[in-house]
Amino acid sequence: MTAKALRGLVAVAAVVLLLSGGLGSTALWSAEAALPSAQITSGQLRLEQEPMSITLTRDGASTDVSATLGQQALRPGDVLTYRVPVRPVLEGTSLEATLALDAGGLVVGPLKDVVGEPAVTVQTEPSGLLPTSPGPWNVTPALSHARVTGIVTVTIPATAGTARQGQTLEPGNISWSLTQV
Amino acid sequence: MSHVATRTSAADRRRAARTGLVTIMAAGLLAIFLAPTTGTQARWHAEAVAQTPAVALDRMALSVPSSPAGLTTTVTNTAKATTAMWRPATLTVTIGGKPLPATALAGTAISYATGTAGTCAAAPARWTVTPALVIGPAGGASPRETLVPGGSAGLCVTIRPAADLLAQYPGQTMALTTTVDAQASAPATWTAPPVTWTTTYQVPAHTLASCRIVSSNDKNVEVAWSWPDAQAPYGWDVVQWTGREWVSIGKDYATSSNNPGVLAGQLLPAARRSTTIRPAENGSGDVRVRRYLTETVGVDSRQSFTFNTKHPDNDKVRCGGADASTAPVAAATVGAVPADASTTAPGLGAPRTIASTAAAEAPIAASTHLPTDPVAPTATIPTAPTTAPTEAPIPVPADSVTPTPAIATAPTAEGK
Repeated sequence: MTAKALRGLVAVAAVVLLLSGGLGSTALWSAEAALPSAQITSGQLRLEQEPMSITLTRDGASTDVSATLGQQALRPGDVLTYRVPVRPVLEGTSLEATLALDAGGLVVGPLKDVVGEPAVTVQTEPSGLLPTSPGPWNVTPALSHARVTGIVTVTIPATAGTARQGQTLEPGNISWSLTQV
Repeated sequence: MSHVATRTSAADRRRAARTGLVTIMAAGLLAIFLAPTTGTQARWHAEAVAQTPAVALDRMALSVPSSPAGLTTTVTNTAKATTAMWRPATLTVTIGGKPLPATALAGTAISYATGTAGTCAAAPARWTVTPALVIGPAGGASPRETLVPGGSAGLCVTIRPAADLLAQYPGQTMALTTTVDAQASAPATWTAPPVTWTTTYQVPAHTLASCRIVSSNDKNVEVAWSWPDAQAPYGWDVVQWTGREWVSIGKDYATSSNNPGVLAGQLLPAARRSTTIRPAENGSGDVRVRRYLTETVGVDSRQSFTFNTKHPDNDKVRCGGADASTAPVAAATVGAVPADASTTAPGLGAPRTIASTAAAEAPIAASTHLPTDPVAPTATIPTAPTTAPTEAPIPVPADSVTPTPAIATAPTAEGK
């Protein structure tokens, strides 16, 4: 073994020794001090869902049909507004996530081609925490526990002709998602 | 020897360099492993899904009762959410299953009115119907009525028959079939399937009521008739079969009098429903009552009073009852002005005399529409063959007889 190789090994050993610090001291000095125990809490990322409300706007007047929508009969010109509130919970250092509202599953069935895609907007409490665009939105713990309400509107157009009478807007869904980035 | 030592030294240097490089890399990796991190690669994910219930579009439809009573029905919007703008759209009129020609409806006023169910009969006309059976809004009104979802409205049809209809189809039943359609209020463009309302209307006709001897000499007879329609006729006459033709006879004989109060050719006032005659003066021929619709258009009763002569020489008669007429419709419904039996009775088309001031009742409105139709039998003397009566008088001994109801059979021959 050459001297250079020997020096290399010594250097590695020194690095290990410095970084590990596990070899202890041979002096056997000893001292104690009581320190408060540190609490470690893991982060959170979840959605707290609140009840959805549905209003029917007809001839300029709005009616809450949350519990009676199935008993209604729609006609051209009617506007259904679904309000779906959630409270995103984001807790954790440097935690970031994408909040998205998907209304693509709302209008299903034979009326899909005539009703078209619903309009989506968003509202926050306190206001202004998110732009009103359909999203998705990049969110941080600053939004945590604020109420975010997705507002989805479906309009029965005048082009829904006589042949559409009696057809059904079938059961669907509106989904919120919160995904860490 | 020194040459070998030189090669060994170079190999040792390369080995030492490799060893140093490996050492540095190991130290770097160790530092990475042991250093604290910022952020996580866990990609946490959460979802909240709201289920939305089904909801159906409305279905627009009208309904009318399947068995409406009279000339009134109820139109109901059975939609749950859609306001119906409705109207009577088409009308067909048939008699005996055949469409009624427009000429028969000339002057006849047909209109529709609306209101709450059962209360629209007296309402003003909402739609009027032309003789060609085209329905249009009355008085510049909007073409359609509004009916809220689930709401009902009364729909009435009113008919004021004119002379042509009264003359050609007395007592006959017309079937009026009305289709009612609807469209949704804007912005919808929905329409409802048309519904059909069929009702019937009997063209008014007077019927003979009774015949009874009113004089002790059994010569004067009171005949009575009924007239169901509210429209006042122009006047009444009594005509008798002479064996050749129907002629006007004297009326309103006082008890046992030989002189009539109303001469032959003169009319009784519109309000009259009975008169006294002396049937034996014309050979006891059958007697009919003729209702004048206008000054020149008359309609004979579809029944005839028959008489039995007690003795050929003494003019005493007995009432024989009232038989259904065997005359064809055309002859029975178009009354020729009777043969002139009076100097005051003018001929066909000439002004007639109403025999009483009670005739102040206005002539029926329909008369103002005549004669617009060349086919209408307004001024046509029936070309009836002068055949003898085909049915023998029924010998009824009683002096007072209530006529049997007319049987609406198709006549087989013109004239009597």
